[in-house]
Amino acid sequence: MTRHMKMKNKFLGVFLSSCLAVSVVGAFNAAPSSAATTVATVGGKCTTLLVQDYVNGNALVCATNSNGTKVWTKYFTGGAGGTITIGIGALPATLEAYAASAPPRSYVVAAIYSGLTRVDLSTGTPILMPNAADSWAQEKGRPDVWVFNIIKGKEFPNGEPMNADAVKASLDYVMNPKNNAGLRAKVLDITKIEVASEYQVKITTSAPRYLLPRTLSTIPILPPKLFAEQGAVTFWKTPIGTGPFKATSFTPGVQLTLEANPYSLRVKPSATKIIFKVIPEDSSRMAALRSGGVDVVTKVPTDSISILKSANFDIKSIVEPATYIMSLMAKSGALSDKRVRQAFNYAVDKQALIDGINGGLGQVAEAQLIPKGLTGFCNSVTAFPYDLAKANDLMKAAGIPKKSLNLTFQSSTAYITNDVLMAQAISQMLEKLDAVNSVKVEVLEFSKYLDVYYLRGAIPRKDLFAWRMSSSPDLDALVQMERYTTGYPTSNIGYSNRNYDVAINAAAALDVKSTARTSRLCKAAAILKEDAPILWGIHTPDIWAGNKALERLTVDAGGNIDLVSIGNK
Amino acid sequence: MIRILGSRLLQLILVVIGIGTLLFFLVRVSGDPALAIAGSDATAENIASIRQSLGLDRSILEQYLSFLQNLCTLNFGESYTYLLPAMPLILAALPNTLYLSFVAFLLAIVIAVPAGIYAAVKRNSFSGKAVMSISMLGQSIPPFVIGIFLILVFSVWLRWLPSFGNEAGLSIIMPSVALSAVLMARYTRLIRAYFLEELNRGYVRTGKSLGFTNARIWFKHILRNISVPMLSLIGIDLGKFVGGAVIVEAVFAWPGIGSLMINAVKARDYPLLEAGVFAIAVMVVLLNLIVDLLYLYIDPRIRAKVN
Repeated sequence: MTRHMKMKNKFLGVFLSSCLAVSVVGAFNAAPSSAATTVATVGGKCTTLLVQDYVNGNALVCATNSNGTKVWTKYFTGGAGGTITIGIGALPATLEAYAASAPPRSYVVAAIYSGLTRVDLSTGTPILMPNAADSWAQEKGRPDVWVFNIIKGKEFPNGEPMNADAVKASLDYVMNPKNNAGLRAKVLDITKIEVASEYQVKITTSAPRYLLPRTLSTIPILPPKLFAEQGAVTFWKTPIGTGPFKATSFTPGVQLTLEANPYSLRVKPSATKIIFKVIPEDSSRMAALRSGGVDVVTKVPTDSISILKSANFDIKSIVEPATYIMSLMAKSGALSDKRVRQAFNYAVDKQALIDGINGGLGQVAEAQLIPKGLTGFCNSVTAFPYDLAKANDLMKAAGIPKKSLNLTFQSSTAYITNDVLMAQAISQMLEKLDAVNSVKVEVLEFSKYLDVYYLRGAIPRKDLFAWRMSSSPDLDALVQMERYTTGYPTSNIGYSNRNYDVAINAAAALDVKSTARTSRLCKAAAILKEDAPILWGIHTPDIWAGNKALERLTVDAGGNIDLVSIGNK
Repeated sequence: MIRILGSRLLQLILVVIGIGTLLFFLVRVSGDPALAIAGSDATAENIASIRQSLGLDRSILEQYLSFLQNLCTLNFGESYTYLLPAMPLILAALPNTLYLSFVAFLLAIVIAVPAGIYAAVKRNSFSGKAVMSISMLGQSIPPFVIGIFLILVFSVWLRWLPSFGNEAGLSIIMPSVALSAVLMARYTRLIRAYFLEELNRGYVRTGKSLGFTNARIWFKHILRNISVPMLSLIGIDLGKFVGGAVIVEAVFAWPGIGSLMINAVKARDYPLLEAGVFAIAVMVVLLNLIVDLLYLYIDPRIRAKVN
């Protein structure tokens, strides 16, 4: 590489890094979410800075040229990035494509397989990009029918064509309850899948579902004949797909090796090989980075940040698309009074949780279930400020005598970042309320914790139950807000508000981009804040670290590392 | 000899059934694995279907009888998380655990024996006391702390040794040192104590009066005599040793059964847990059998009794 090129790349890197700090609000509206997409070309105009498009094997990024115009620019040369080793706390036990959609499984699934669409989160806001589908749109006059045009002339590594039949077979498999696909919950609204032509598929939903193209980014398309011949269990052992990488070796719980996939639908990745090494112990994982055993590590503990920074490692911190909340048991007792629940929200100093426990990383959650930037976020619904006096006044108004409340706070351990510490801090904050005598923290081992969440075990939900409300992969408020509608299976905290249900159901049928939808979600969010069945906490940080020899080490707002772009200098 | 082998085999069967039964009920009261498998995206219908496919919707008695039946054929079923037969998964990881345990155990013995003897014969010297102080330190620090310390020094600062995994030949050094440290320290102290006791025995004085060298008295006579109580302790320690290996494997991301077992506990992977505990139980009982056979070899009195 010439010095001139190095300078140019360095400039581009600095420019992109600085842009990353600025969230491009409203970018989603400018994105091609429901219309036919135009093919990006180097030098062609683009609309949203930082967005990446994959065209004919190349990765293009939207950047500003010397004239100040936003144009598609070549991001990197495929195959020039060498081998990258990533130390990771845990990997899925199988390479199953349809089990779940959240990290760390999403790293593997997005690397090996392709969905119909791809969600680009480079800007912090979800932007839909083509993947197995070149374009998609709602059928004219039928908002409940989506038409997807499949990429032409591509095939799976075993020679089967990527076409509408493959899409239908894959979705049929996920939707069949007999197959126990974890992602089935994402496609419950689909009522019909039709192969309109070899490269066109029509999907009908029970009601207009504007999030469908985004949801389908998480459902990989598999070679139907091979999958049927082998059966799922055998296929997951040595899976093939059309993602940017292929799995060349996998030892569950130990290591996964990915290599560039010649059958990748759209892009040749920068790195030729990505090796995931499973190192569950935090301190061992950090030591592996410091000793040069790995190039990148996930889940950096907050107390390791300063050590890694001083050792000249790059730290990447994002606010997870997840909210640390506590469901409040509104069924009976003092917490059935919304003034008490509001008082709890006023009594917790969320910024102190960030500064004191999370090393200053993370973000105070507004009284909503998603962070800023994701669709459905409502600017007018803000966080409860920390105001102990007001909290005490509310408790007094609710008629709660002094030192009369003895509460239990159920928390996970090592599931949510710093969960036990946060539970202890919050319980101490609540104990400062005049009416609260004690808040006992009940730390639950993960399997017990899930039992309590699903209401299946012997331990009942108690006064406060901490949960990590993840918006991944939909990155939209609706999916999470639906959890507080009347009768939602796992809520069971006795909360019900007819007006809230109406607003949520109305929003579900509206276009993601429409102002009517945003206004209904805002109305629902305001109701939820007023009723306060939740004690809103913070958006937890997700911290990664890598050595300085890496280029394009980026982690998107969904908590996924950009495996396609990362490479060695 | 045949009687000993027969009784040990019977003991093995009883231990395995006992441990298996205990484990069977313990894991089942810990909660529902279908929830862990289904994940947070799953519907209630998914969870019910998973329970049915795993046979968890049957009565506990039915499940137990089926478990006993499978135990007889060493078929523990398919791991819920890895979707592979559980026993082969354990057997694939077992060599790594055995390798680590064997090297660590050998290291403990090779260092503890001379160190213990040295501390006994030089008991009033500075160096003898230093050996005892170091062994006290080794016994007081948990293996995972020693592991992290070793990683910091030899991987992070000096960059001499790999900090995790089992890829290069050098990978074994730090995990085996961490695992053996407690045992090494314990045996050094015990060997010293036994050795001191033996030094005052009549046969030692007789040997000296006959002009035997110290080395002959120490290694040929005293060491042989203290081997019998030491072997008893080793037999007891073997179980603890495997437990320690689980922790050390986690610190060094060592791909043994310890790492598999930790994942199995988290995921409530009953078949994998049952297969793992079965393998460990068999291993410990067999090692105890070897210890018993060594008694015969070392102590002629026991040999005479058996004969």
